[in-house]
This record gives sequence, structure tokens and C-alpha cells, in this order.
Amino acid sequence: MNSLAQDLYDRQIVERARNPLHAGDLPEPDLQGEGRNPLCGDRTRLDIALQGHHISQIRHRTRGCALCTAAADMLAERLSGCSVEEARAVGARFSAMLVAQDAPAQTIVQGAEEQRNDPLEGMPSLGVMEPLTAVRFHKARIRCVELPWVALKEALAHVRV
Amino acid sequence: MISSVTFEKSTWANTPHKFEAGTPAIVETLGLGAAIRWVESIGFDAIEAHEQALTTYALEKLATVPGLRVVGAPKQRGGVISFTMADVHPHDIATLLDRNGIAVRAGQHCAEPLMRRLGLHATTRASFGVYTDTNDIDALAETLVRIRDFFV
Repeated sequence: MNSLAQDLYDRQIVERARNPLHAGDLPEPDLQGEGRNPLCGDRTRLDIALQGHHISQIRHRTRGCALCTAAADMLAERLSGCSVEEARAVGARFSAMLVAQDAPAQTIVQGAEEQRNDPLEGMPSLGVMEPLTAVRFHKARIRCVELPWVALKEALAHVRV
Repeated sequence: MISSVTFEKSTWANTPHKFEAGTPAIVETLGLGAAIRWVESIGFDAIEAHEQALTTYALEKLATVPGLRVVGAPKQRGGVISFTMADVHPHDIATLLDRNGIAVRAGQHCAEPLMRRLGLHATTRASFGVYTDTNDIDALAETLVRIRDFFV
């Protein structure tokens, strides 16, 4: 199975799905959002605590597949401590990655000019979410990792920065 | 269908012909004819017997997969088996079965009220046809055991 699962189901994803670090509720969340996928019945709820314009803590309740659960848990970890603006920027980078074509990996021989044109230049890193990038080769599963971001969008819908 | 086309303007044929676009599905029509002849040459009784034998075999095989539960136990069952696996989501199962050349459907199967009635969120569903054989069932059961080992 390892050979079958290797590229998509990174060990970190399976570990997260099995033992999420940020699952649960917050007693008094400032923001809440929910994402639902009616095709498969998956659901993610996010509880978010704010300090000013910064996200101080996120907890999620996810009923979903390994990819969805891992994506929610990694979102919670990556965005804790971020400003709302940064959180949206991480989401934009994640979305851009999911639709990215199979571009050749950045290599050291690429010129400075090309780097200036890199649309991801200046966008925040994906950090702990990096293992999820393999999903872009599995179109049918992209919705699974996007679901927590649908919930985030709903939670942040009325936050003005 | 058009009546006449120039660079300046087009005119259309009279109805109903104006609503008939392009080449008719000639290849598909011939293909359907060939498929019907093929199915009739085997016969529906033989197809039904084949699917019944496979389904019986599959139910026996799937019963040996750890954590697997077949949904429903009808007196009469067609060549379709829905199942769940403890601690492994149907979508993860479907992706990994697919990687091993086995196509199944996973999710709510456009039947959300039924899923709720059964107390399930989603199931995986394997179905058998005249082109399926016992080797396919063996591969299904064996891959499911490996999937279970991978996730649990």
C-alpha cells in the first residue's frame, strides 16, 4: 500500500488525520464558519479566537476523510498567530497551488528575471501545509482539502481589515 | 442545419431541421447495436447467474476484511455491495482502490436522506458486471486489507 499511497498520503497527513492536534471547540469563539460538501457528506466547522486583528487560536470539528481532516488541522496550526490579512494571503497561495500546472520545480539556474515574474513572490509560505500540495495531481480530491478554507472564508466574511 | 451560409449572413433550414446540429451520432449508434448484440449473445439468464455467483463470492470475501461492514442484508441483492470500514473514510478508500486499478463509487450516492436514516455519513460501493471475475473480487478484498493496514 505504501507504494500506492506514497505521493498523496504523506506520513504527516495520515498522522494528522489519525491524531489531530487542533480538533475541538473554543468556549467563546469570536468567529465561526462551516464548510459542507453535499456530494460526500463531509463537514468542517471552525472556531476562531481573535486578538485585535490577529487570530490567536483556531479549533476545528471535522467529519471527513484523511485529507480533509489533515487540511483542517494544518490550517489551524498555520493560521494561529496570523493577522486576518495574512490568513487570507495563505489561503490565496494555497488556492493558487491547487490549480497550478505541473510546472518544473524551481531550480538554481533560473534567472533573476524569471523570479521577479513569479506570481507567488511575496506570498506567505504554506509551512506545515506543504504536504497537501500533492493533491493538485488528484482532481477528484481537491475539494477535500479546500473544505476547511470554505469554512474559513465564511468565518472571515464579515471581518474588515 | 443551415439553408445557406455566406460571410455576410446565414439562413436556417425549416424546423425541425434547423435545430438538428452537426453530424448525427453514427458511431455511437453502431456501437450501441454491437453492444446489444453482444449482450444478447450471452443472454440475460447467464449474466444474472454470473452476477449472483460473484456477489455471493464477494460477500464471503469481504467478510474477512478487518473493520469492514457491508450495508444492508436484503434477501435479493443485485451485483452491488455498499460497505463501510471503521476509521477509514470512503473517499480515501476509493482513491487507493483506484490506484490499484479498481473503480468504485464513494460518498452519499445522491441519497443523503437514506444515509441519515442508516446513521452513516458516506459509504464505498463496488458493483459487478458481466466483465467482472473472481480475480477482481480477490484484488478488491486484498487491497482493502492493505488500505486498512495503511490508515489504522
